[in-house]
Amino acid sequence: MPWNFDDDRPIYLQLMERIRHDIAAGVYKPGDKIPSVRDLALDASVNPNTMQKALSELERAGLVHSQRTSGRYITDDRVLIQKVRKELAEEHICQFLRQMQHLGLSNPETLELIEKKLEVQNHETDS
Amino acid sequence: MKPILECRNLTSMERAFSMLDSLDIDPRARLSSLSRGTREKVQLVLVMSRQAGLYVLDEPLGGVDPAARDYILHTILTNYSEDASILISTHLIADIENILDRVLFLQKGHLALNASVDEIRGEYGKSVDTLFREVFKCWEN
Repeated sequence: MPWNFDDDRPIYLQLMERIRHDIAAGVYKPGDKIPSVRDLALDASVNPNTMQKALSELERAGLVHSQRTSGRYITDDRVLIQKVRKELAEEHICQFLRQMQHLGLSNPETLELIEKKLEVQNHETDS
Repeated sequence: MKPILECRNLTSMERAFSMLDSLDIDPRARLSSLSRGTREKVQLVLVMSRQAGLYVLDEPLGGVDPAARDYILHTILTNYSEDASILISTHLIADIENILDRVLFLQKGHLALNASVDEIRGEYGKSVDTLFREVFKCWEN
């Protein structure tokens, strides 16, 4: 998946978001070895220093850890990963609710629309 | 000393030929017969194939199509050495800002800005390209 960036925010933050998301979504499994800074930077078409900064921050957050000479690995801490998944889901929900409110929908109306949509999806998967 | 120098040159030569090959440029072609864009690519190859501590690129993206621009940026990133610095002068800011550490704006012979890309985005909340357009706006409101 191509790395897309917003204009107005620091790149390293966006790199962190993307990698966090990939960890939460299971693109990277717990304990996986991640590519080198250089390879990741090349893949994302960014400055390797920026990628390094993002990875250092992710290390601080405990999502990624370095193994002396063998490189960087995704954390084994499944509880932490689950926590990140929930946090990201909540961020999406907040943004979604803001958008619905911006459209002038009340929260009950929004909830009704969601339930209807889920019902339709359930029927589609059943049949 | 000589053998070591020759070895280094061999690496640079190999890199140069390999780059020309991926750009589909015939090493035997006369420079004058090449299109502008292709000449720009050759110049890039001559620079980036070398092992140096400082690379200076003057408008490496000008007059070059978007696919070639991608290749040039890719080449800069693959030849990136932690020991080397790359100095790029360009007007195609949006294309290049993701790979830069630091940015200098020159205005009328003076330094109008000297900041890291992250600082600019963090403090001004805009891309380097957007900030540049504001700083160098050509007309009054």
